[in-house]
Amino acid sequence: MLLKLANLCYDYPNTKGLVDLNLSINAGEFICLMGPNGSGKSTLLRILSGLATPNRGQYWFHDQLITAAYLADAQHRQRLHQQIGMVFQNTDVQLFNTSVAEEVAFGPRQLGLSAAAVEQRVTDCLALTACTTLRDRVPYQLSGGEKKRVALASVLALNPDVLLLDEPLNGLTIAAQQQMLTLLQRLRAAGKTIIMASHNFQQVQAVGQRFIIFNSAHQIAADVSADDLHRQPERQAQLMTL
Amino acid sequence: MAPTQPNKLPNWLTEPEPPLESASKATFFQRNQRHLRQLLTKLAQPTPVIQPTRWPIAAHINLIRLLIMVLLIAIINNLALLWCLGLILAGQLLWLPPQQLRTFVKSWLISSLVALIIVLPSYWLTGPATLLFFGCKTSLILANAQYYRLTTTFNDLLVGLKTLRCPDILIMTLAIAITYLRMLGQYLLLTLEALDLRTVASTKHPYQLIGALFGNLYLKSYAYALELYAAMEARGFNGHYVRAPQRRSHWRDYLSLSPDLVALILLILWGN
Repeated sequence: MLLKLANLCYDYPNTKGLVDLNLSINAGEFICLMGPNGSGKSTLLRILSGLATPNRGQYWFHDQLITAAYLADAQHRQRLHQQIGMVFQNTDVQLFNTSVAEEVAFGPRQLGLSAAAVEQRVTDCLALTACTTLRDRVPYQLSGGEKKRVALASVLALNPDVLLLDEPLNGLTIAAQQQMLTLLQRLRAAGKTIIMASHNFQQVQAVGQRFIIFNSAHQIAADVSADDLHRQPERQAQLMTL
Repeated sequence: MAPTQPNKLPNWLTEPEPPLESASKATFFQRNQRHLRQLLTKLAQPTPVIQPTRWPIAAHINLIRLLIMVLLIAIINNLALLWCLGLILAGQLLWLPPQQLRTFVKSWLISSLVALIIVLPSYWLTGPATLLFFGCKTSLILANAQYYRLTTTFNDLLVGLKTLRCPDILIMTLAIAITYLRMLGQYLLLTLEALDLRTVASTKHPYQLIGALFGNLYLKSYAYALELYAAMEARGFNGHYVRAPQRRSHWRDYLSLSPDLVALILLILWGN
């Protein structure tokens, strides 16, 4: 078991974030978090990445209970961040370096790799995300879709075991969406665990192995495999309208 | 340098990353996230801590009360009257919930200490009596301002200013400044979180990153300013606020001013 959530609740100051979540995720799964806006998809990703800690309930990662006290230790926190990478919904905030190449190299440089190895990772990640031509551009000046791809490249460069993606296909052209989904499928085939939040079922139905559907009460309404979902046309129709 | 395998995943990406041996202690950026979060919580200020449902006092009356109190404290040179004003404030503080009262006391003590340091030279110039007197007056003004901050939302402050017919430019500047501070603070916090997520070991030059972060923040604020201006213009804003129908003042609003007015009358009768 890679990840486990037990009776997990998260409250924002004036509203609920997540209510009583129970979930288990195995390594190598491709999971799509579906649900209406504000249903808790992004909040769950924040908790899984260690950016937020639950108010109640438990979160286990590799049989280690992740708590605020555990994350207060910088070594634990950094170890978790090495294993879990996240692409934010607003990738603007994720890019802070002066060039795309510097942005992608930021993570690997901390891993103690040689300059050549860092350079190799940068080149590979830019090629995988079709950003090679953007290499010397300033991230601030990129378009929304380009920023998404560069953000993914910068996360991939750290080679995390788990990839958390918050609406990664928004703002991408159809061709770029297809390219990114193909890359994600390849990563899953290589053993990475992918957890992707989306509210567009059409975009993700072909790639998701398992669909976790949130309702507007911030709870998990359904947790179905892709095979089961294909046998439930009414649920598919419901997801199409999200 | 060419990618290792153009159509396949590179080997390093298919193998698990070995754990880093030497992780660092809490980084400069992690520590600052906590401070920024606290600041944003203060700026967010979603609701006032006291919400009288049966007797809400108009926003402009609250503002007038604050202004009268500050004016009175500034001009009074009589210790007994100053004591009376302190009692009025203490009476108001009794209605605060315990947690908010603790917050009030903590921030009031800190701000008073800073103010005391500023007026400290008067000890050598005119003696301890003056220092004590000015210290008391300053801390009382700060306490009133702190109480107002705790019990009034930014929106109420703006409504109060509009009702008192303050210049539009002042209201607009204040409104945009508050919105901007919150928005840019939120942006910076998210950037620090993103940075934290990609920090897996000690950053060799953390202070160099500050330049990049604040450079980004500056560019973002500039872009936001242009977008905000365009959005306001597109919605017909011409630099003048349309006055919303004002809430009629109730006799209770005026009654709430009575302690301050009594203090003012006492000041006139007793003088200094």
